[in-house]
Amino acid sequence: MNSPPGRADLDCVVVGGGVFGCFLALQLAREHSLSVCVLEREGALLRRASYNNQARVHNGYHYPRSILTGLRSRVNSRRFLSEFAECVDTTFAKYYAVARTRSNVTAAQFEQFCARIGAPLSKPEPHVQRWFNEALIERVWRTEEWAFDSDALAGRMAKDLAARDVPVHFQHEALRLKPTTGARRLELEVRRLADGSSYSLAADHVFNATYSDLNGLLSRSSVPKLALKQEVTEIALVETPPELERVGVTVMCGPFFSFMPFPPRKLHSLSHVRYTPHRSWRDREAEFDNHAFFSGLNEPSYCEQMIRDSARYMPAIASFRQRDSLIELKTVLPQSEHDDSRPILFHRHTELPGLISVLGGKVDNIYDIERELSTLRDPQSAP
Amino acid sequence: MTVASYFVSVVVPLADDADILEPFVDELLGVLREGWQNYEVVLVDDASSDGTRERVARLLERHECLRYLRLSKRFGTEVAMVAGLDGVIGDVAVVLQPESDPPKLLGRFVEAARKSGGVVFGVRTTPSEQSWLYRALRRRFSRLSRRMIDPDLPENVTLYMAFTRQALNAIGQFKDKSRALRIFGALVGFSREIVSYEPVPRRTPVRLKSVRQGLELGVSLIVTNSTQPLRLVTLLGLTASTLNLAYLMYVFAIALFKPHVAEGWITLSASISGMFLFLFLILSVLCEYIGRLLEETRDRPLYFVAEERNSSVLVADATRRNVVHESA
Ligand SMILES: Cc1cc2nc3c(=O)[nH]c(=O)nc-3n(C[C@H](O)[C@H](O)[C@H](O)COP(=O)(O)OP(=O)(O)OC[C@H]3O[C@@H](n4cnc5c(N)ncnc54)[C@H](O)[C@@H]3O)c2cc1C
Repeated sequence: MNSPPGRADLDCVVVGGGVFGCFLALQLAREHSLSVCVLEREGALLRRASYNNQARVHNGYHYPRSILTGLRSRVNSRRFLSEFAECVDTTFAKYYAVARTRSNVTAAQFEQFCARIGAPLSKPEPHVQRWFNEALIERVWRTEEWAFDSDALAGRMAKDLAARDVPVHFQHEALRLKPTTGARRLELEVRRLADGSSYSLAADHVFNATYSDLNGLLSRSSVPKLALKQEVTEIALVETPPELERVGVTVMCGPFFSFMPFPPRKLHSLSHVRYTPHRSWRDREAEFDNHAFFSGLNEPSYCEQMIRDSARYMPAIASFRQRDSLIELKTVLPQSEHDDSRPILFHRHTELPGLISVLGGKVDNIYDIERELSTLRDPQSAP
Repeated sequence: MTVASYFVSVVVPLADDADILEPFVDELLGVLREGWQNYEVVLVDDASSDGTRERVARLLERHECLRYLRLSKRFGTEVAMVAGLDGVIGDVAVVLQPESDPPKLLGRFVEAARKSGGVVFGVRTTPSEQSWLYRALRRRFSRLSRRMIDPDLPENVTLYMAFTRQALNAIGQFKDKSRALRIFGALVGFSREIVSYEPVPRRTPVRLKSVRQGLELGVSLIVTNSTQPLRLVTLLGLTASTLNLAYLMYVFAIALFKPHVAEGWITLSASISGMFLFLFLILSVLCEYIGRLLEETRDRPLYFVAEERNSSVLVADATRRNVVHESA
């Protein structure tokens, strides 16, 4: 065992430097004045799911089957936009459309839903209407939805963490946890990827914010796995024809597509409900380690399928050119698979007191964590 | 065999085909994998109740590029095919029936479609194994539909067909209630190509089709696609009124030249029953049309999809399959 890079004894350790890990660490340091450090396996912040996603700042429209999620999403997005203004691209026109067949929502229902959650809809310009195949698309609206820039967000998080003196150790991988009888409740073994050496940290709370690797850390620590479903997903990065450069479109609500600007690459992200998920499994049934499996994966691209199907609804998509694809593991709670709600998971492991697993459904619901943290000091009172 | 770069979609309607499903799909995907780099297979389950859904779940774990649609109730083979065709993305789409159509002919259908640029009809070279009554009626129907709908409709066409994207887009605009791919394929007017083949039944003995359902389909096909019966009715109506007129003149003549008429009830009842015969004939055909009109104006969706599922190849297979997909 080596000695740790900083303090060996802390109030909290956050494992995972994605959006959720960073936000957690900031909250703990800022609002609760706890000593905290962040461990991240990659060489920078927000390199995994927090980068490899569609970058949509949800504004309610996406959940026509759940008023509550829609409302909550509007509150969060407003706050996200005001606190992270420099990380959000609001300068493009975003349209939503409803398909005539195979859609789980009709145009009338969608309008009703948006009216109830107060999400603005307006009539699109005539030339926009003409982009769509009338035989397949029932109605189109201009909406207000934005894209975040994950590079800018990573920069902002790094700055905020530094301002609070929260150390972030890159290329440090959390290996396993065990209970201690010492002053702190938990001991965490950490490996430096650079030289393979390891050290240990003592802490009262360890936050497992590793998204698709949540169960990796748990099973190495002999804690029962959470019921999570993993999907290998693909988001294609494409170049659009000039008239669609400052445009995003989402077709609701079924086996359809969505494209919008992807700010960090100056390209567009294209996803498709049918082709974005490539394969899936449930962690409790799988015997391999997600990270090891995913790293060895050589996934084909289904971009061509996405373009072909989407072009049936919007012919201009046929001239999209693929530049790249983001392949990432998406982790979902099996219970939220069928509605579109993406609640966060905030799970206190009773088997190992002090260990908390956090799974974020989407970037802007980081705010849902706050209330949970306020009960931290008195874990007995927590549900 | 060189691997072609265009995209091929295959639609397979299923109706209680669990017994033959797996060997069929395995063979089909074998053929596709060998011949094309880009393909998809859509299995459309016409509300089977024999465990088809569970078998498909196994197939989805074994094969990539497989999609499963389940219709909410039994809509009929051709509606199931249309439901599949509505969502395919290929340059060429082929439909075939698992119980009789050999996948190894796929290449011929696809090539014929690309050559003609329109629709390819499969034509059986051997007599079908249905009952003599079914076959006799079927023949009669072919002759009728050639006279009433399209004189060039080939005889003995099966549901093994191929469409180019253009033809498919045209067919997609028909919103008729009773869909008949074979006939729409002809009606859209694209160039046609014929592939003759010998159906290979996967099931012995073959499942017999119901004569009643065949008749129903035949009548509804002719009525939705041809106005000729209506013309016939007009003709009948004209004949009836001419006769009526003659009869009237006869009555006038009698009244004029015969002082004491005591005609029997035979003439009376004969004329009345004759008129009623025509009247009812006319009414019955009109009713058929009006019924059709009603259905069309209701403008209901042609079908409802209850469920869609996609390939989720097991993890153990994942890396192996990728290689196949990439190196093609
Ligand atoms: C295809 C796709 C599309 C999406 N679209 C959107 C969208 O449009 N809008 C939206 O808001 N959300 C979207 N999401 C969801 C969003 O990406 C996630 O909710 C969010 O990124 C989760 O953040 P996180 O910090 O929990 O995970 P991550 O960003 O994955 O962070 C986890 C971090 O933990 C690190 N780590 C893992 N194991 C260890 C270990 N043992 N030791 C040290 N570090 C470790 C990883 O390297 C990683 O950096 C999408 C997700 C996917 C996959």
